Amino acid sequence: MTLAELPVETLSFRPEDETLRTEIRSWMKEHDPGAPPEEFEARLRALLRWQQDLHGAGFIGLSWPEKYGGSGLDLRAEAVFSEELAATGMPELINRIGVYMCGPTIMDFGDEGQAERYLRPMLDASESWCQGFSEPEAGSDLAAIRARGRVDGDRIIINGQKVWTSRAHIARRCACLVRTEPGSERHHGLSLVIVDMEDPGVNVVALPQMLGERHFNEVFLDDVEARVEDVIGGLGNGWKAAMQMLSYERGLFVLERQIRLRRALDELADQMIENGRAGDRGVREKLGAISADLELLKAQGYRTLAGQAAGSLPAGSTSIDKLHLSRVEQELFAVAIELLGPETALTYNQWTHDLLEGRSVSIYGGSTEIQLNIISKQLLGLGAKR
Amino acid sequence: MTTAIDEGVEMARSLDESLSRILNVEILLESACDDLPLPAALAETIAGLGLQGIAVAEDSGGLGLELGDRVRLAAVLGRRLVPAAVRNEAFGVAPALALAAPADARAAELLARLLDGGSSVGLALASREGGDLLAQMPEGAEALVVLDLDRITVFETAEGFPSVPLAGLDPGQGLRRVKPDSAEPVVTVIGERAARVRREFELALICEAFGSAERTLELSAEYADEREQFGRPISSFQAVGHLLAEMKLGLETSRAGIGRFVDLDGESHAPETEIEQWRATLAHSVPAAARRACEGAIQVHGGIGFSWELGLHLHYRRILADQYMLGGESASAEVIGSAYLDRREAA
Repeated sequence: MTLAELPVETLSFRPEDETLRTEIRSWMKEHDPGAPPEEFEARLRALLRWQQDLHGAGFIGLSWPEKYGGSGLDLRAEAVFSEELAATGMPELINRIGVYMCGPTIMDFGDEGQAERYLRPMLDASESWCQGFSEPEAGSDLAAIRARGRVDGDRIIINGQKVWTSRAHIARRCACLVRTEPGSERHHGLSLVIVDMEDPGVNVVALPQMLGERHFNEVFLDDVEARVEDVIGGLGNGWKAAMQMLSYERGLFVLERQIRLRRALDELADQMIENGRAGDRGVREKLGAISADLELLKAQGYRTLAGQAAGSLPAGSTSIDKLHLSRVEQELFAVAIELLGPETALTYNQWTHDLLEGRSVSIYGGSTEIQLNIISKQLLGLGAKR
Repeated sequence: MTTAIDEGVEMARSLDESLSRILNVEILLESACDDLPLPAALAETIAGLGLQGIAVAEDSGGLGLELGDRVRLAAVLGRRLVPAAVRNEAFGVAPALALAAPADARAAELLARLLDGGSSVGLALASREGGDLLAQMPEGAEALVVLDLDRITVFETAEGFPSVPLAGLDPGQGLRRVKPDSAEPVVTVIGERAARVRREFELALICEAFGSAERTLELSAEYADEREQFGRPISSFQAVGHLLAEMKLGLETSRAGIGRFVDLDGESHAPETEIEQWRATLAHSVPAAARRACEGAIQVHGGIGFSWELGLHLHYRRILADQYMLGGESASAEVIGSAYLDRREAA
């Protein structure tokens, strides 16, 4: 029984948060770079410059301690920033993996040396990060990691292959999950090692997704040399650190995503109004249902952030965020082309692009089936007595 | 602050325990069989719990509870399938009478006796389209409170009140069809405060559906771990585990939504339009998720889930009643969509 969780804690904004919102909003209005260039390299440069500008304005790392270059505020400030960023022409941070996932995990599990070496360059994106988790034989079953890290004095020699590694082609660092204890199995004997992507043994090969875009890569690791002092959380504690990092994948990301989806829904609504269909009952019902789902996604995002801030997030709870996000995202674009009709559905445009891209949401970061397993085991406790 | 929260949770737990002792499934089924109210002695025991004052301010003789506490208690009423009449009086009738009482002696008198467990008053929600009312009027009800979108109307019902009895899907509530135009109201209150009473009552329905559905999920998870087929507990089959996880998913996003609403309305005092949007969101999404969860519960239980004796149908009937008192899934979506498109058009 979970009466204590009704009403559940949520992120409650204070007047100072709203002041910050006004400040960020007016800055964004003046500095909004517009949509990034189509061409890939130009796009990367634009995104990099954008994060540098945001950093210059003092908006990156709002919740990070001041000693690491942050502003010493809390997750409310970070949420406000994410929401306002999502309303600009470039709603993503090129180094969001560093700032939102790897950085916080180093602060939780790493040591002062790692914090000194790696945190600040994440903020201005002078060092971009990626996550080396999935492997060809370790997808949904992440604990089947095979990449080996042989400890040799103060060095670790890494061999293996990673796959689906987002942004590896632009990353300077990789938080790489490898098996450092010979003969260990499953969750044991793993370590989360920081790898320098400029090491000559690292080979990054593009793996274009179904739209032909280069979001992720294969990463081949041949005698890559890393340092024992760069193991986050110490040798053998990789699983715990990796799980913590994955929990940071939700929260702010869901909040950002929710606003981008809201913008898409707004556009769809405006087209319905233009086409004189705003009075159709069916249109009103469909848009109403998606609007409600987006509001719940926001509420769930706030709840997760409140839990993260209080350190009271139950294991597995962010699977709710992930599943609900994937449902509403796929539904939104399916409804959009259904309402906009063949003219839209038969051409290549933002709607059909997003419809195709939406198929990834129920796969990346743990597929729908894995999330359902997590909910049934960790949140419902099924089989705990078996 | 923490103490207050703990006290509220403690109050809900203790109520939940008391109700679980008073209302077992056999008793509920017996009443449901003939669409009758609970036996008088039981109804008196429940009246003795003081639920009538849940949603009334202290200076009107109520408990003066915070919104968060009220939400939690509404969920407990759903968990334990407390008769609809009790919910109506606690969350609809009493706050409506409290609003009318300062200017009307009859309302004040009815309220005073209601809070002491000494009077019985029915309730109806006027639909957005108008027309006849489906009123829930317990046996011996001496008045009827009608909650319209921004209007509260109280009728005397003792003699010759124009109403026709109907069999209710959610049993024991004394459902009647009422033609309100043919009766003279005792008192009418119009305006924002009246609208608020209706909104709060709808929130109680939403939370009741949530609480009821959460109970069916608990029962289902326990059952799936105990029930063995093919030599192992059915929870070990992924098809069953995923069905339960889907139920949980709907209820957890609902929980997040209720939490956000309480923050906006109770703590942050957000603008009325924003609160209304949220209420509409919850009125659509929570009963729909609750219904899917309850349907999942029946499915997970298999044949016994469909039986009369297990009583899952009592939860299902209650949740369906809540959902359709709130307009139903499509109509509630249309309310949200219309408001949304109107806002876009105005912008």
